[in-house]
Amino acid sequence: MEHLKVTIHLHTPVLLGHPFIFFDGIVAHLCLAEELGEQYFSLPSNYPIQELVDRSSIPLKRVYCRESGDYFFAASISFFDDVKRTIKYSVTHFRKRFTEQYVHRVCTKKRKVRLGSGFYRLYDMKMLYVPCRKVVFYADGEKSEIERLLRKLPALGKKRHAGFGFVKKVDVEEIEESRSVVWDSVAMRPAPGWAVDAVETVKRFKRMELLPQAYKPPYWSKANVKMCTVPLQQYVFRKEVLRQVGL
Amino acid sequence: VKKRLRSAFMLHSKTPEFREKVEKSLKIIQEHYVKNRSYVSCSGGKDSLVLTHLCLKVDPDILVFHWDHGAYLMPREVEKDILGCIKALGVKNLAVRTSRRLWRPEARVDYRIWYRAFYGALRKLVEERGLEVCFLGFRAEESPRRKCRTRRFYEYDKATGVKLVYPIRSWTWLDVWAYIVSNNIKYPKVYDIYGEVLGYDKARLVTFFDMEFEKYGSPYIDGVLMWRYRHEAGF
Repeated sequence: MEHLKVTIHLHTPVLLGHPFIFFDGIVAHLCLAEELGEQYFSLPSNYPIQELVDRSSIPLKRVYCRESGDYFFAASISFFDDVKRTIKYSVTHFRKRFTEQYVHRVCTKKRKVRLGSGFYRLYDMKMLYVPCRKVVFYADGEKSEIERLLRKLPALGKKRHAGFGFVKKVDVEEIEESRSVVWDSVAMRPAPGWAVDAVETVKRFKRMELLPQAYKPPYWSKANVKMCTVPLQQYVFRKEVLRQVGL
Repeated sequence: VKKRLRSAFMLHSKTPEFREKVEKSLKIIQEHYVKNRSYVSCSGGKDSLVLTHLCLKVDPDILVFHWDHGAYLMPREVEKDILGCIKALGVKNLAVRTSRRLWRPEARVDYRIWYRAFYGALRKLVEERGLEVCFLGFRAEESPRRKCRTRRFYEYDKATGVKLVYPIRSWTWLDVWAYIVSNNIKYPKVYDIYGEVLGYDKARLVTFFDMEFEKYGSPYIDGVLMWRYRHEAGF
């Protein structure tokens, strides 16, 4: 397992539904799509997808809790353009309007077309996007396998079908120290409470904030929500965790 | 509000058109006001804060009704902030109501739960206190539907039978902000978070992560700007 810096160069800006994109989420998605093939896209909603993630061969390092057996992946959140740059969001709209000139094509028995709900529902969705040229991730994992999987990544973020977050090229390079979980005491991803030394954190930084967040893929699953570290805030991580990521 | 924008709002508040609007709104309130039978519906948004401020000028003891949407639709920190803003206006007679049904995760998905709970509680309050007139902060500028609805400055509510009055019907977003800034009214911090990204003309205080507003993209914006509260209620 190598310490990696993954830079994804983009053609178009990224649309977001959450301030961070999770690298382990991307890799898990690509890995499962490859393992399950077409089946991946027709999973019943109550299918135990968590078990699939747990058992699959995702080429990222897993950081384990010795007591509970719980784990999270050593992969950071997204950093747009530059780690130190603050993100500036912009707004874009997605609109659907019913055009009266095609009304003769509507085949319904009723004479009314409902625009408030159903198939012809109108919408004007606001979405936030980041006008960036590249996205940087840090991870610990198998370089060659990650490179191979990322070749299959067409786009990042939301509304990819509309051309947002289109990937230009991917650079995966090795770095000397691990930055996937922590970098200079700054949390690089949401890690569950067990990963942090609460007493030392309060002693050193005078405060410790934990928020309920998902910490492993699938990120949409509420089963994965726990009290976690807030990305980009300072914490003292447990020695056991640091040892596992090679720090 | 940033300094530059604040000074622009201050300048607008000195225009004769704005003063005329304020006077007209006060006149509408005085015209429809019935002592001990009127109330102001205050969500805590900028419009209702302005309206409450105006109504308190007419009657400092007027009943102010506020609806608590529950932890799933309104993060507790924001709710606390809203209540702080309402109280900072000097409200003496505040009625806060909520429903148990809204304190469940389904409240985010099924908006019918909200409507049933809200109108149930409102009907009860109206019957209990014998209320006849409700002042609402709807503006014609907000949407074509509201423009139609507020055409006559008042109408009768089918659900409760109360007379709904819209005193700030003709106000624009600029008028609202000018009133807030010139009267130094405390407003929820959420406006600054959303206003800087969406613009102060488009920033609205609505329930968070509410699928009823999916067609406006609200849950996606909340997911980025209010991500800290996404799972707060489940804990």
